[in-house]
Amino acid sequence: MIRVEHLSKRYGAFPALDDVSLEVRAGEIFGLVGPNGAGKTTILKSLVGIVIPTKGRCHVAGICVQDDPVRARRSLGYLPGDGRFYETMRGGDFLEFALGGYPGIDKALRDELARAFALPLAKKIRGYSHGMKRKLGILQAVVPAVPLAILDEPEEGLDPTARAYFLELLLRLRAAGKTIFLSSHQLESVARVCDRVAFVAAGKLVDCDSVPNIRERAGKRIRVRLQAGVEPAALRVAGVAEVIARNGEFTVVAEGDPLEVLRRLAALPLDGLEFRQLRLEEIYADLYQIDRPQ
Amino acid sequence: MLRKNLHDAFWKAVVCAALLEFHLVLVALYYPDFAENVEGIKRAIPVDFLKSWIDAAASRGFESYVSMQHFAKAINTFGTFAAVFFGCGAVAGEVERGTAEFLVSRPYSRRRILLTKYFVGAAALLIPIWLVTPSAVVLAHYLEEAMQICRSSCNRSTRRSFCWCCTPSHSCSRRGSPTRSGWRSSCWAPPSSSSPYWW
Repeated sequence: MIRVEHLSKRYGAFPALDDVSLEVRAGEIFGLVGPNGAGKTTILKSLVGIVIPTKGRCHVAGICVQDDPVRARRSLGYLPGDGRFYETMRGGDFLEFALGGYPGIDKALRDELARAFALPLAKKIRGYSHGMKRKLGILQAVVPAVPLAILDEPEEGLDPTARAYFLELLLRLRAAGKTIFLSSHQLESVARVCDRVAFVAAGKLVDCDSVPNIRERAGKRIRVRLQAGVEPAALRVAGVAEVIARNGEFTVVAEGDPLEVLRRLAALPLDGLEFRQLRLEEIYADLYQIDRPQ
Repeated sequence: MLRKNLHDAFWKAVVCAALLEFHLVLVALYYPDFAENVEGIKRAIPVDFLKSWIDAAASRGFESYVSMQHFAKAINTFGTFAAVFFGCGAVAGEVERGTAEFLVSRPYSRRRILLTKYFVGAAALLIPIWLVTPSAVVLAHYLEEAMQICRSSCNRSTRRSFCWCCTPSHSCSRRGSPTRSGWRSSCWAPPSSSSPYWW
């Protein structure tokens, strides 16, 4: 459904994207995660044809965005991450404008979402709260009768109830055959609904896999706290691929059978040892070497 | 798309119309002075073409008034200002308001976006002119009434330069001979439908 080939974008000397390639299959929910400024939004904007890449191409629904941006845009719904809406327009008029260019819209879904989000469509957008504006944005991005929705941080500004409703909505849309490509900082929701996840850092694609696969690989990590005075080098027992030191703790990455490594580590003078299924947040922190504030 | 741009341009057009109407009132108020001073103006203008134009304007009563106010509305000056002012805002305003990203993410080509803005903007400049012009008739009617009231309450000894309604009549050639009694209402009568200045 989406194919990104060797996408690069430079802003002057700053490389926002550096040779990013990825593919999103039809009917899947694909999550893009990474720290601020990693290039998530630039990837999404390239797919909509707002950003013209320095190198590489993007295809959505079989259409090359760079060759025919209008036809490409007609086959996707888009929620901008930082774009604001027309403050002086009424919600209903805005929707009419926003949905006007598409070949068709799902009227039933539009009415249902307007009711579920309690959007005051007769009121001017100026009077909307931040969350309401985001809900209006989500509505106009998913309602067009097109095979793809591209959502830039859709959960930003939503309250917990609306967020839960939104995640249900994503699953429903997928069941109806829609492909969803989203960027997010809400890793628990990404882990819950996304079929596959791509990690982006400094304009590069770091990792791209299904959530269970990422967990499986990360599951071979063992967190260890050593007693005072013990050299960290002692952790490099047989079967250990890597030792990552962070915040006085160590993450030991096992190469083969983690139980084997566990047994060997248990023989060391340890202060603590933890071995469990890592949450996506922890994997994320490991991946980006993010320290907790001291 | 069209509706959204019309929405954007609506208040611009209203402001445009208000400014034109305001200007029209000023022109209407000063028209007697204009008629009075045709000769002086002609002397001051060296170009023959303009002299003959002023002759034509001064000798045709209401039609000339309509054409005068068209000229005096300074469509070329005011229009240029308005066009530049509104034209700049049309695209820059989207960037300013942070809505540009949303606009270009709609399934329209950039050409279509810009052309729609162009034509709606042009309409926002033209329609006020068309709407304001007929109001000259209404304005003329009220001015006539106002002048009659003014005339009846005016003391002849008032300094002429102070009270414009009491100044001696201007030349109102086609619809009757000038009189000493001031304005002739026929000067302000609605034009015949065959008038080329009326539409």
